Amino acid sequence: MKSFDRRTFLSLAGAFSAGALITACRGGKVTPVEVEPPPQLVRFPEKTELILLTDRPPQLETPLKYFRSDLTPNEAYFVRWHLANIPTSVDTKTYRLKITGHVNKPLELSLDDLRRKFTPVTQVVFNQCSGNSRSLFQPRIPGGQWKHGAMGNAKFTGVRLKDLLDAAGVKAGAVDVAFSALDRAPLPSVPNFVKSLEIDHARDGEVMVAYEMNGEPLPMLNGFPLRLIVPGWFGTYWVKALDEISVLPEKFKGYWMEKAYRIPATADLNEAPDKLAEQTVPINRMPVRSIMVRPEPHEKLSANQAYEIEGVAFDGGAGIKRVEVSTDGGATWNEATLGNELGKYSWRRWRLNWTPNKTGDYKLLVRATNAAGETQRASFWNRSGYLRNVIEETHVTVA
Amino acid sequence: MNRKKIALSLVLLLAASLAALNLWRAPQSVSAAATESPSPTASPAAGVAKAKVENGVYSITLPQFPPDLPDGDGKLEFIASCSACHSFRYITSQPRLTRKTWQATVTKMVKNFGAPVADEPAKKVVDYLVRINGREE
Repeated sequence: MKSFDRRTFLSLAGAFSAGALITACRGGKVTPVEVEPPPQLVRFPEKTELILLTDRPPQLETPLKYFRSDLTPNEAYFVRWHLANIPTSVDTKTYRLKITGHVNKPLELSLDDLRRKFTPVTQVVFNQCSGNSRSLFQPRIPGGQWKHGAMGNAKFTGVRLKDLLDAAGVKAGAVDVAFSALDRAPLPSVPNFVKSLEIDHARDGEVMVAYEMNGEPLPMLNGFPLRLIVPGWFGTYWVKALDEISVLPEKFKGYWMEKAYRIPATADLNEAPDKLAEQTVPINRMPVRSIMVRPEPHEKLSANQAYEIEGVAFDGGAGIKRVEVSTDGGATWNEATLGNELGKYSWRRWRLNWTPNKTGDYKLLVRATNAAGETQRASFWNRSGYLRNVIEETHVTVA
Repeated sequence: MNRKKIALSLVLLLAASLAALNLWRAPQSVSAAATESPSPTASPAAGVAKAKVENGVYSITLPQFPPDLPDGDGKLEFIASCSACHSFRYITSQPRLTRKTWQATVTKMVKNFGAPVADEPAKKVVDYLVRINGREE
């Protein structure tokens, strides 16, 4: 059985139908096994071949191989929209970013205004979808069936949200700031995608409105011409095709804050399928996490040959302090070498040399610890498949 | 719902159904993921289609990748009820969910998002979903 190529097996099995139930024979016991369809690669405008989750609206995942550089190329950066009518055409001459609501001087800023009237800032910021790696939860959870590729690390240039709010003059008593965008649902009954931040967060000097990503205009599918960047927080807040910033004198109550993107209000954010948390809160900061990028799952390595294990680690802004790798299923751990520090909110790449001296199957693990002493846990579940940061396993075969 | 809204919804449903059935655009090709080990230097820029820029207007054209849907009871109700807002990949990309989960999903679409589906067709939709990508327990 060991020599059987699992990928070939999966491709064949997946060809029958998506999520087909097949019966595998192992050790004489007949067990039904859920088989994933093989990943399908597609090309969208301004994108390289990405893994297709859904096409309308587009949800596209980045293959692991693109996480082997400090910055994720724009062409390979993941895509996630909620509403089917996403902007496909933007007139940069007439586009206006509106700042409205509880302010002294409502503003309508052109793209030119943003570049010329405000001090540009640049920062490398890691982003991750709330549901990144959702497909790995057990029991399975409906929603975007991401593996680890709903994430990316990019250099954003734009203006501080604080500077925009200061220019409009926030009135006393402001509570929340709401962010609206150009995308719309085909049916008017579907709530527009509006997210909010508390006023102090919006004015922290770190949240920014970006007009460039890795030195280029944003790809249309990543929010051209303007995208909100919320360092350390999950991607759901990073509103794409941003067109209105509204300051509110009360708590914002929109569908995408009140009903969607909620996490258990338990101390450890955990819950069980048969015992869901009674209270929930909006998802927020990213917990510490590490992902093995190389070897990829089920890669075949050679015995007695030096191999460099690679990956990335990230958190909500405290900073990665240590990354440990186990090549023996968790019995012993080795400290990995951390790569360049690119900024408080960037991911940190890591690497570790490994020369497997015996043939066979290996279970590789990685865990990160941040400067606040937070680390990853062995198991964790929540009903929406958010916040995943368990210690991930990568199975490889050494021949 | 007033008459204008109903008319608008019907037009949108028709348009979306046409799009979903792929009557006005040829499906794009889908390639299987490479099974080789990743190359150490991935070069994503090759073959990337740029946005069209004309007189300051940036535009792209979105491709569609409709999956094959099995025929059978409930398929028409499913197309009429779901395709206005999202592609069928939303179903085929899911794991085999239980009837309870598919039922909850359809209820969410109706209650939270106002999907224009009456109770009877909604039942047929759930049956269809369970049959093509679900399980009873």
